[in-house]
Amino acid sequence: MHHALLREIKVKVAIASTFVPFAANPYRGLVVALEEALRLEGHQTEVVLLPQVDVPDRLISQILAFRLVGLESVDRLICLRPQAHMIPHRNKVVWLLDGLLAGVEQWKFGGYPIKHTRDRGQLDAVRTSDKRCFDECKTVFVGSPSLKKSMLSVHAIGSVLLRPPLPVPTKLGNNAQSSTILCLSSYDENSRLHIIIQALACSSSTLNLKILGNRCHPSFQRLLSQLIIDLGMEQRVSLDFGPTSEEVLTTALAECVAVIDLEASGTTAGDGMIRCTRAARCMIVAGDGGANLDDVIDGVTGVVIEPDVASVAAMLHSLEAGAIDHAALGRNLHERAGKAAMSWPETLRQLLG
Amino acid sequence: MKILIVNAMVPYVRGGAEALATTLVRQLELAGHSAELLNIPFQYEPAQQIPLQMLLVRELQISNVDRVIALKFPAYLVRHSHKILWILHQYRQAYDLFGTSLSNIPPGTDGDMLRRAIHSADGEAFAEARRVFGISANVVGRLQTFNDVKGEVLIPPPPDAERFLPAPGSGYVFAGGRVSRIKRQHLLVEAMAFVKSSGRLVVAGPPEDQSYADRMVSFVRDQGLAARVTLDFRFLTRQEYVEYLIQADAVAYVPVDEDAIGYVTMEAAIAHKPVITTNDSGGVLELVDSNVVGWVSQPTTRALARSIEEALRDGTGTIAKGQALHARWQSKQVNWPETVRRLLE
Repeated sequence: MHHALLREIKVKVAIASTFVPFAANPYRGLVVALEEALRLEGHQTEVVLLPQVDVPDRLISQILAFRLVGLESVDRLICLRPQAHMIPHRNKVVWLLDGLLAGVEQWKFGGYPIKHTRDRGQLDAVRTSDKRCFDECKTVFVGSPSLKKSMLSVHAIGSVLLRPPLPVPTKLGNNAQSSTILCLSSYDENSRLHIIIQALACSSSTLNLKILGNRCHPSFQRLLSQLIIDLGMEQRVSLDFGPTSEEVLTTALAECVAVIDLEASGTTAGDGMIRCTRAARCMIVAGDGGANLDDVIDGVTGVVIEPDVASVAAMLHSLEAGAIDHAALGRNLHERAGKAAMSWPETLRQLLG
Repeated sequence: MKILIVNAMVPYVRGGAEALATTLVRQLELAGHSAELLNIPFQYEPAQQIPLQMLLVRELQISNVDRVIALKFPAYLVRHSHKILWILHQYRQAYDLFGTSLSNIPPGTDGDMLRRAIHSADGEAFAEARRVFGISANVVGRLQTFNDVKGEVLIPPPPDAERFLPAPGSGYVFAGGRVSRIKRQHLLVEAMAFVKSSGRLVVAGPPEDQSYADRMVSFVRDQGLAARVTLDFRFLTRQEYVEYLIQADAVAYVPVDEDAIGYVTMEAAIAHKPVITTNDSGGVLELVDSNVVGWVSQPTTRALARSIEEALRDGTGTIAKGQALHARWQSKQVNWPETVRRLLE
């Protein structure tokens, strides 16, 4: 009865999210799918996308701007990519796919170490704002079990697991002849990219490595660039750090043989995992990969390896030799996520309930 | 180039400004650029909150963009090193509409402070911009009058001109678009009480203010005009709108000092339909400047009734006016490639 009644009540819903213009982010697809699902159920739907930058010195003024957004005419507000959760509303929920980069983890990227009292003060202010704005929410939904854990441990925020319904992959591409392994997301030494490059250089494999990321710690980027030169890998490793368009990412995924993410003890599944799952691509993760192990089971939905040069080199050799059925592993990853996710009507019932 | 179009939006309200913004994105992409749209929510009520909305826009952080094209208040306050303004309108309630019933800014000290804040922020935004365009001579004139800014007129072409193919009239005058007090559809509805012709008036579009729409519904019912006045108050699909317009004998558009020529006027001209308007309708008069291409009257029900009567009775004359309006529009040579070139030159 309650369920049926909810379906009958049509409300004015706004979806609020953030974006860096012309740069891909995993929430873009979710905004489109969520808007369509709401419209199909007859709700009056509005999308509010606000620009966002991950530069610590600008975060405070950005928070101020978001706090000034007035959406009183809306019955319900669904906030997606941070810092959309800063928007005040009497009836809002938040739905996160990955961590609060801007709030905490961001401080380790882009040359912004916490050295000064001012930095500490900014970080504390951002954390306090995060906490307050999450407390305003009726519910905080998260897209993965690992994110649920980190929201509790890092932010002391209780949340509800709500995996986004998985879209049918629209651009799988033909990767049968592909010789490229793809790395996505943001990087520092924790990403162990240097291990992958070293493994590539010392293995018998002829595979190439394409690294696309939104940002990289400057000193680590210099280290990687020098390593590529020292190992004579300029023709086989491409490094591209900076805002990447959705089209470039989609094409790279369609054309790669697998996606590799050796990050240690990740608290949340990263962009690479989310995209890989949607695109049904084989995911290669580290045995100490934390959140990445939520969905990747070795030999079933991907490949789990030890994060050392010898193990990675051996995996590369197996992959190229056909000993790893990467196509089947990618399909399994997608299907597993599909089974775990709910339908859109059920998802909307949770979001609006 | 990576070009960000910045516009202000009121949730759930769609009109010409929104159509222009999405069309501009598409046209920039057709010209080989990457374009994206940023819609900043704007609440103009209560008026006392407007400075906070202005601050919100100033504090937004724009990155990874080569150029910004900003369209209306307060979106054009956004900061960027290469900002071009193509102004649809300022916050007119702080300028020419101040002191009228259409302004929400109160008289007195508080209102004066609010107006000064808006004028000052506008001045700063105009000074920051590389170029300032206005969508009509009317808008550019206001910039000169109120802000001492010399802008350039750049008329926005309609988004889908090819759909407005001329068709024979079906015995009605059409008033389409957003239904609001500033568009004064009530004058047309009330005028129908004086029209003797058997022709009809069709008013169609989404109401911005339900009480305003209800007032017209009551009038039609009370005056027994239901057979001759159709009030289709809802959001029309584009196809429904096009069909209403191209099958009309004439189009009526009677806003208060409209900023621009207006899509309604342009679409009528493209479809060879003459336009009924009033001598205080602002930008509309840049195209419909005489009775050769339509009917320009006082903004009264009696005067509009005469215009409607003539449009519905004088078939040949109505068609001739429509053709003349079409020819006038053609002479302006408003098209998207040239518009994009000027915006980016």
